[in-house]
Amino acid sequence: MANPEILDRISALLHSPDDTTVNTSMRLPVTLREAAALATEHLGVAPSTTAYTAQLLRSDIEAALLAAVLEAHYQEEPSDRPSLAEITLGVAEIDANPLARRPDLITKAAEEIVATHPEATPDEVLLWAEAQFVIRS
Amino acid sequence: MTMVILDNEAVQAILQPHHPKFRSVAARVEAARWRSANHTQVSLHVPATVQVEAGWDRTSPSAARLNRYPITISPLDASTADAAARLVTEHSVTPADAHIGVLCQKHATQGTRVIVLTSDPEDILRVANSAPVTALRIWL
Repeated sequence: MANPEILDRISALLHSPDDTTVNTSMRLPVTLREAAALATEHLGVAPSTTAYTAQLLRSDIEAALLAAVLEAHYQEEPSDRPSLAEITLGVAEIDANPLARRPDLITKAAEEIVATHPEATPDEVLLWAEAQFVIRS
Repeated sequence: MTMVILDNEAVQAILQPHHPKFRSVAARVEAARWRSANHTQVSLHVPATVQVEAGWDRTSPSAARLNRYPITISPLDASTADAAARLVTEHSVTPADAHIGVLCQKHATQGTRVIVLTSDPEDILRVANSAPVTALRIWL
């Protein structure tokens, strides 16, 4: 588990209104730099290569921080960790999948699939639940 | 890109220790992470008015855990305030829900998937004004 003080510091830095910039001597592969420059100029991914790099760096750090903060919470409060079935239900809701209205099927599918595949993903549970639904209807 | 907007109750679920709805919020955030490419393009947002409504004072020691989350506070600038005021008048919703509605209308039309974690999906869908948002109810 990540040190909470480190998580606090990363979060504070990300939220800081200080927009002072600094030149870096980051070394990039020449090909990657050219690809980024072309993507910026022709694909409209960002106003500039610098903005593109900063945007992706922030996004990636935020993703890692979110995962670490949630994991830290689950370590402190194990009963707060959502089950595979609960996460799958959330995925079904996001997808507007009709199974979102059948949490019983999702729960059963998650139980069945985890029995033989402990590392099953929400998509695998959804697929199994859909298959079971089709077979039974 | 997936933008997850938290309403007052979702903020409370993280802010208050041992909140009974934390698990529901966490399940939806994990689901949004799963649905987002490589888990890297999910961002959490709390409108400034929701922050106020929730009593989330970032300088308070009691907010330490919530402060740790990579949450962007969406400011209430002049044009957003005008648009939110119109939604309050039209739909008789709280200023916080109206602010959420303005964000939904603004971002869901730019190719961003917008998910709102809320205690009242019906209100959110009304203020979203047909913008393609997903409003997920926080269950107990």
